[in-house]
Amino acid sequence: MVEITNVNIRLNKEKILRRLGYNEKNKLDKRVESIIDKQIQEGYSLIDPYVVYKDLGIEYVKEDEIRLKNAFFIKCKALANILKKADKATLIAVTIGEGLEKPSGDLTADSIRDAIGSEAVEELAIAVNELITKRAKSAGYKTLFRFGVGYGGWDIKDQKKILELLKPKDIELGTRYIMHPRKSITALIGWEKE
Amino acid sequence: MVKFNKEEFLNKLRERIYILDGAMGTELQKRGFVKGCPENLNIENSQVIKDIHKSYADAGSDIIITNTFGASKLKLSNYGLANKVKEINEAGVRIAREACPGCIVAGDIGPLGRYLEPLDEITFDEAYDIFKEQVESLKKADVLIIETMSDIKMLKAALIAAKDNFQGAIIVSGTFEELRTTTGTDVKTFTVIADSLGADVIGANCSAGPDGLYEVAKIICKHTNKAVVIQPNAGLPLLEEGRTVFKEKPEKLGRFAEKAALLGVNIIGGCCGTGPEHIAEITKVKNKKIVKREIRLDTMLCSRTKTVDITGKTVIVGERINPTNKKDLQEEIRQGKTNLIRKYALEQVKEGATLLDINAGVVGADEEKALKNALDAVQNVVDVPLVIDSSNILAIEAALKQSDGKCLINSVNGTEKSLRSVLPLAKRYGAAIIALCLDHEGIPKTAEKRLDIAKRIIKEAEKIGIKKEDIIVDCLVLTIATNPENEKIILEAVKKVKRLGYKTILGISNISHGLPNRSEINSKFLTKASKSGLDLAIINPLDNIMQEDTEIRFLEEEVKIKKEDYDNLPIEKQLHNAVLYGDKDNIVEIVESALKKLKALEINDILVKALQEVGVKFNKKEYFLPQVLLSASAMKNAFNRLRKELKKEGKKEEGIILFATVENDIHDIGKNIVIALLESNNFKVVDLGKNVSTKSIIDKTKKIKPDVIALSALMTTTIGEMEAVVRELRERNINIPVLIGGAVVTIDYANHIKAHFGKDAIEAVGEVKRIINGKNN
Repeated sequence: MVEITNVNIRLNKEKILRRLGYNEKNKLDKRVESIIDKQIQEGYSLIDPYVVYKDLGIEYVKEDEIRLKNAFFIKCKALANILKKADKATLIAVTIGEGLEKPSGDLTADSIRDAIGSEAVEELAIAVNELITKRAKSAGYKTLFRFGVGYGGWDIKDQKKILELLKPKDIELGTRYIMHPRKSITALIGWEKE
Repeated sequence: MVKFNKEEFLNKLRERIYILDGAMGTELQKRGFVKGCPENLNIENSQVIKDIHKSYADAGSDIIITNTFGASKLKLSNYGLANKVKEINEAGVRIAREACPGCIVAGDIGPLGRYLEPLDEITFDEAYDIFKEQVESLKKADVLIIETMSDIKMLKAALIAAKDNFQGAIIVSGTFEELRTTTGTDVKTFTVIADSLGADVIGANCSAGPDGLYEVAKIICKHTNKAVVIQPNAGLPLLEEGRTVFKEKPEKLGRFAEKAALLGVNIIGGCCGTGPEHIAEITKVKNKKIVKREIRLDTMLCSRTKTVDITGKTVIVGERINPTNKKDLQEEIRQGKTNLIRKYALEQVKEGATLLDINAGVVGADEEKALKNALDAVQNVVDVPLVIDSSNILAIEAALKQSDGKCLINSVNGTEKSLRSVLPLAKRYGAAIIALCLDHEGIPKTAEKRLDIAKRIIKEAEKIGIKKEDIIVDCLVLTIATNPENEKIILEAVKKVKRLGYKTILGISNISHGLPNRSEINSKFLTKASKSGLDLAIINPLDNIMQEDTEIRFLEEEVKIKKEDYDNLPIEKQLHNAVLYGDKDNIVEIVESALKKLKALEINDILVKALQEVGVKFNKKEYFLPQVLLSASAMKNAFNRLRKELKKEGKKEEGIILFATVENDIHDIGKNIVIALLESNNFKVVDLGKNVSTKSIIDKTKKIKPDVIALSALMTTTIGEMEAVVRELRERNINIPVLIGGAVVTIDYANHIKAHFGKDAIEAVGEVKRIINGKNN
């Protein structure tokens, strides 16, 4: 199992604007832009990236079930379809911390920070994905589509199994399988021989 | 005997408005006392003073100011009464108390009549001693009032003397013409400096009539959470038949008091030209409920004439006034000259330095004198806040006395000696501090251990009352020449400090010490540090490569809508635009102007139409979320101002909405956005928060009988709670309409559970209006 904390995330302003609903028709005036710029600037200091991942062998893949070696099985048809030729997988849990969640007292700032947080955790997951792809490549594998818990029919209850396996020090599971901090992602990345 | 202790007095100021008295000088003139020393009447003719005090108490004054405005040694010496300081001041307190036994007695301290060096010849210490003598003579007063301060350095000497020698509350009041003191300090800077020096109440008096002082009061109220005092003249002074007269009618002062009360002013009185009749009008606001002010204050540093806010972008601190490795500067300091110092100051400010670091430590020179001279020289040519860079305590204190503004002390570290010597100085002189992450064991190797030292310094600083926003942490940059990991360590440390909620500073050029291509290395590091949240960067602003390469922008003024942008528009258009462009800063002032011409209901209509236009723009995707929220904030500010008038004109709230995020769901941003829009459309919203049980929703519904129940859920695992709420309501025959929304909610689901649906915030508000209009028809 590997833990990483020193990941540099670059916040993409255009993507953050799109998360806020910005499109070509909007007239983005200087004032609104400066408010968003300020939140992005502050956002850098409020992000606390944390990553943990573990490589696992895949024992079998059936039509709607995957068995991970020395771990647990997953019931998800869509995921099984992606992994049909995979013999390895990496489970990841990432978070950017709770810095951006704390209410600032200004709803405009909080809503921009929410968008920044969503973008930041996605960037973190992408950065980790790239790292795992590089590792896989050096071992003669290619990586498959990153599949998140709760999506495509993967029961969100499996969040519990993943966090029990990975034991991330900065992520907890609350009731109804909601992760704290809120801007956290758990996912599986399959490895397929090239 | 102190009538109240300090805390009791300050708490009472938060409960209701207190009334000061009016002028003494003009009342004495009315009674024929036009010559001689007015303060000496405390001894020569105490009855006339008593009568004037009593007339104010009868008019409604809560606080009586002693007749000691000019009773300092320096002022009394003009009348040959320098040896009567104690007698005159003590008599002043006694007379006030005898005349008005039910009132609070405020010992009055006025300016010295001359300036401090370098404008005049009086040193800081001399001024301090003069004020100290007067403060000690007024010790039996309940509170002190230091008023009509037109010079910030004089205020500093007076306030420190008062803090050192008086136990009760201290009120300070400046005097301003065209929003500046005589020596150029603007209202905001005066407020920030007075606050940081420890004044308990801050305000303004004299110089202007009610209209002028209202503008001053607005600025003061925006920049402090301390209580505020305002005492206008009875208009501007006019010369009639060789006499100075003030012609503003008492009713005008009464109207002024009403307006000042709405700003959140805590103490209102009158200055030159006001008499008991003016105070009687002002007294009508006495039992008005205090308007609470809760300003979120951030780090601010000041020169004599301006305040720099350290928020958001990285601010540049010029480092060149430092004799290390500069033989010519060392020689100049030894010789007591300041030519190079002035040159470096001008150059750096021209190239974008917002603050200047000043170091004058040279072997063979008296550092105390050298630093004092350097500060004088710099303050003479540029107008920026200063960073006092020294480890010599005497030199630091000399510089703090000499400085015109609010300084930053570079620095205090984690050693006992530093903590015990530097922190009390910072507290005494109202300075901010740089907390340096090293201690007796040196500079720790890890970010975590540097943070431990920072926490230790912060704890000690906050223990003696230094505020969080006045503590800036320097995690210490070490060169990557000795360890390439140093960059990573320092950036990690900066982020950790930022997450604790404190500001950060770094000496950037240390990163490249011992390496070639220093400018390029420094520039790249500065960019990374800025992205890690660095607030202040100590650099050489004249380094061209730094300026070109770095991705950070030097401090720019935050883009704000200026009031002047509106001035040529009709008031209806001003109101409309303020909502359309989300101008929450200026809208209240525009509403105030509109109320002179329009009824509150008419203003309300204009604002609502503007908000509807915002909704249309959002639906057409011409506006996106931040713009909608800014408009909602502006609307909320306008409504808060209009609430009273709308109620008088019979405007009721549009309806009551009960709002909650369902059980086990902890997301609330979306809910809060909808609430903001509902409130700005004049709905009353009762917000139960997040993770709210079905039972709590039902119980509250029975209690308040809302017009609509609004539910939010963001998770597929929690959406089912919405159905549970609807079912429970119907089983209890509660047929109040339910509106649902959230990322996972669809119209099909809403139809399935027989609820209304709002796909986004604007649609939710529209749906609420349709529901309520449907009920009313």
